[in-house]
Amino acid sequence: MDDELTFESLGKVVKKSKNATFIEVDACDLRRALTKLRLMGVKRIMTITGVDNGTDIEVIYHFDKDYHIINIKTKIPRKNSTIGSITTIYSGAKLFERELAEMLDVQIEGNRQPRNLFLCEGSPRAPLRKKENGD
Amino acid sequence: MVISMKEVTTIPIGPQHPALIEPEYLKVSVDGETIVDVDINLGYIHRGIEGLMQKKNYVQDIYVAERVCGICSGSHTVAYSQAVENLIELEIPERAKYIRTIILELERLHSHLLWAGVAGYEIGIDTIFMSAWKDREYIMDLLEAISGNRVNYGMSTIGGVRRDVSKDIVPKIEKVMGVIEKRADYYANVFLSDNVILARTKGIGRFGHTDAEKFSAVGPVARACGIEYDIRKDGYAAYGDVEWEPVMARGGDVQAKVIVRLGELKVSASIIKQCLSKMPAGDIKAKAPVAIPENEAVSRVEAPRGELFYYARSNGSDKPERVRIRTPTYSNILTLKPALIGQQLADLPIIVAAIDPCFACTDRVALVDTRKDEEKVVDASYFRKIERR
Repeated sequence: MDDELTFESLGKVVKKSKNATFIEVDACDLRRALTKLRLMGVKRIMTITGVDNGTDIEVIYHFDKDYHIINIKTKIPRKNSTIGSITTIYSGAKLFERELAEMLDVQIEGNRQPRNLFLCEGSPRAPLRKKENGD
Repeated sequence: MVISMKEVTTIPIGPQHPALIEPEYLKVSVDGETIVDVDINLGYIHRGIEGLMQKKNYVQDIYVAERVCGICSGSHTVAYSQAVENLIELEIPERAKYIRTIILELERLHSHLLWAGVAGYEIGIDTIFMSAWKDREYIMDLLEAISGNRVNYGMSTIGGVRRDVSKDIVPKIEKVMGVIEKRADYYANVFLSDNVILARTKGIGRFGHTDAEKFSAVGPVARACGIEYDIRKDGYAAYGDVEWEPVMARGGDVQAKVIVRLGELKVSASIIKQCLSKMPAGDIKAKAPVAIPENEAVSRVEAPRGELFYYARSNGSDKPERVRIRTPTYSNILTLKPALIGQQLADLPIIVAAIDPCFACTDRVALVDTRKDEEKVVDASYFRKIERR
């Protein structure tokens, strides 16, 4: 079992440096990868980053393992962006998911949005999304 | 006949409240004096800094990052600079690493002393507040002597630091460190022996190791629950070259957080003294390019309140594609709920203060109409409107 719990077993390792590893996984494999990460002894989530690269929304989950940062990257479409909640695996992700939903207009399945976390009424909708003209 | 009636009352605390130093809104449900539920409302600090950083160039962003927080401004510039240095895989000069470490530890000292003062104030002992803030002034004077500034030091930059620590100031720093070590012992003695302080801190706002892990607590809040998590162990800046150990405590109550922070005063003083004696001569800045090729990188710093995380992505231009900031309080805020439930309402200010929350200027306000039990969020135009009435 231990042999299977490597960074490579989580997904495609795209970049590795002294302090961080970037791993790409398909959105449908995200839960499986994060469950495996939990089995590797990674108990806490650092944060979630959402990036609008113009063609997709990239969602990056950042974790720490013995002072090494593990970044699990996944892509979802820009239109009708939806991603499953990971709060059943990492409950610390609750606010980070709400922020992702608010800033990039991503639907989080399984994480209720009782109200905005940061933006007030009248704020621009999804301020971190690029405009259609590529701003 | 005995009639038992359990009635829950909801009390809005904040965003502006005498017991809170910065704007935040806690909707607290109490049964008598006991807190049974709490709803934490964030957002009063939101200034759109991540969006702003995408519109400025890499050098301008150093100064934007510095203004995220007025207390840990040095941590933000170092974390941001490290993220950009990681993007271009730039190795900074050894002397710059030591200077960054000295600034970061001076910042921890003034932040922890500020916190000790606030903690004293929150439990009604203003003598501690005045005394701790007087000692904090020694550190502020040092920061001003090194950088020319008390709050935003403008020290760290991409590739190193902007100003050197001159030989003339070294004896002064060493002298102040001696004073701080003695004062740390004094405060530890006061906080751990005074009966009034013990009554307000021991066993108050307790939450366990499991809750801290579950909600991803960081910094002194995590270490007060026995979780050995201190990013300085990663060895960034010059932390790998000096000898020190994280300060740990158990129990997760207010007292445990006091033990960790006051212990860290002595650790910081020791790290600064070691840096001063080991600091090599040489350059303080490596040359960095203006435009940065497509890449992505992460960086972390142990700010006074805990792990501060930066993610940066470059796109080949002189402006970043994305900068993500995760401040320590954002991680620690979820621990407030388990810490507050079951506690007395009067202990709320010290329990909130014990995580050393860092909220900044408000940009909007939530109004609560207690008669109608309605809540609405308004912006500045609302106040302009009522001002004209």
